[in-house]
Amino acid sequence: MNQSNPAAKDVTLEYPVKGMDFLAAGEASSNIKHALQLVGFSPEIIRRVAITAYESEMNIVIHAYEGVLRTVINPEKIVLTAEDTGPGIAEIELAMKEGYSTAPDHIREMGFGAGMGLPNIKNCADEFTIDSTPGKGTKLRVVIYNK
Amino acid sequence: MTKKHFLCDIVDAEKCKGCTNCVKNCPTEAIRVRKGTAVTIEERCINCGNCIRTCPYHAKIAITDQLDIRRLREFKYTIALCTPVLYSQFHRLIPPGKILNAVRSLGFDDVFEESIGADSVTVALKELLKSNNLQKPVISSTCPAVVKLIQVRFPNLIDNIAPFLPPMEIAAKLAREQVSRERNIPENQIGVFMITPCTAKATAIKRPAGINRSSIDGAISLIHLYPNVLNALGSVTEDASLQKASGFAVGWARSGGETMTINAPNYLVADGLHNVINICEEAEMGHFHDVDFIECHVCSGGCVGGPLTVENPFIARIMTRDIVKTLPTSLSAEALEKEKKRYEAGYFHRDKPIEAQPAMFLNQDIAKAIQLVSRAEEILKQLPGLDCSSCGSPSCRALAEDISQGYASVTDCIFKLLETIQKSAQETVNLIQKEQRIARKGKEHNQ
Repeated sequence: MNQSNPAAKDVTLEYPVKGMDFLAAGEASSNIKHALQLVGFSPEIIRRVAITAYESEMNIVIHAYEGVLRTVINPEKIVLTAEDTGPGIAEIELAMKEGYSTAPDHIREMGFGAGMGLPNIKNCADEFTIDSTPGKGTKLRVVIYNK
Repeated sequence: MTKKHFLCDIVDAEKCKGCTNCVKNCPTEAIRVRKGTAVTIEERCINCGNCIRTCPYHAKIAITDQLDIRRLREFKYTIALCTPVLYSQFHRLIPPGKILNAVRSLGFDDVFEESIGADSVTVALKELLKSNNLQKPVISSTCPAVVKLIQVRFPNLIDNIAPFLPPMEIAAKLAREQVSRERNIPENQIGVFMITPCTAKATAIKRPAGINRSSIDGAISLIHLYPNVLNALGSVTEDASLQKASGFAVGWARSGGETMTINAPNYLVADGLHNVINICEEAEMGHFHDVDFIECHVCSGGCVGGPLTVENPFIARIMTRDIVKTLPTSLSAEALEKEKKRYEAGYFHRDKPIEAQPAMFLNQDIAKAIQLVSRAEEILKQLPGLDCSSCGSPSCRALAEDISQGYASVTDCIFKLLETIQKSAQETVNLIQKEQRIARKGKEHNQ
């Protein structure tokens, strides 16, 4: 599902993401990457946004009940928000540590939940904010400037 | 030379039915059917040959050189550079020395194996993988279509491509130098012709990546040369001295052969276009930092699956294995030492870095491109989402992108066209009914 406003100089891509839906996992970030290639951003910008989108999407799939991945693209910057309803993160500082993960064993056995998701996103981001309410959900916002 | 000559395949407009089989199977969405004929967006083409393979009407033709004696006579001395795939194309095991002699007898002065270049790259890769600050994973530079795919679709991976020339270029350089030295012929009077199993190699000769100029003068397709080789095999004897490459190097004809040779501790092998694309997608996301080496081939099974081959690739794979068993596994210690010296002198390295060739963007101007993407997203919502390709574009999304750029119109979609016709038919019916009502009322009024 896409929403965009042809009058503005922005284009907004919005995709719903379902928890535990490994069949569709990665589709949203793949579409976002394709759109960035069509726009013609530099490979480095595309790589950073693609990693951010992929890791955010997988975080919703692995940890949350459901969420929305939204990307606003304009010539100056790309703003990516991932908002979910789910268990939330009790200790954000711990979650930001490389290798720290709350993913259950069966998810780790699938090769996910290595505790690199949030640190990877932060490494790619120019601006990074995360808000989480335990028992309710998490909101992540990342800005990557086109420079 | 016109731009057209650089493309490895062309369309025979008389044979092309506009069926869109090639459109749907193109990995870079480079083909469209317009006005009933397939046309290629050149910047996007990676010369994989998938369109040649999938065209049921054989309207897609590989541009390779004919075995033309006149062309050979332009040179004082001619060398055939033979793909190891040729060894696997016969129903029984024929010694490579006999096959090579048969190729030579077709009008060449000499014949060399492409695989001698694989022996060189083996030494180079083993040395490279020993170094400490390596950008992992190292991606094999052997398949030119993989290199082109990375240039066009995965430019972030360019620095991961092994910095070496592909085996065929090294083999051509070695062969030319050896002949020039031994026979005292200037290098530019020696013609080197590659017997190729694929379109990608033919194009990589005309437009090489990371090299100023290819050391090869022409490409002759294996499939065209095959009948001549078969005929010649009846009358030639084996010349074992022509077979110089190691068994391991000959084994590069099938996927996995390269990895087996260099013996990397942590590796991945992928063949077949869609598998290679998936691996590249993951590599670009940084998922393979712990992998030392990735070997990719766009053809299923590796070079034995090339679009210009004769034998079924699965049979050719087994034949390759059997031939490899008959050959010495590696070069002599003396030859290896020589190769190592060449490596240290930079003989196997590319002349210059490989360039990114991003070709997916809709407009040079980012603000305009964003508007086009925005418009394409709007158009996409109206399209049926069947990805039937009847419009001539590979998918509804691609059609939406084509329309936003002005290359196609909504009514190229047959379902939208039907809708439009139905609507206008309904309007015509409404109009007639309205006219009839007015006429009836007029009559009543007059009575």
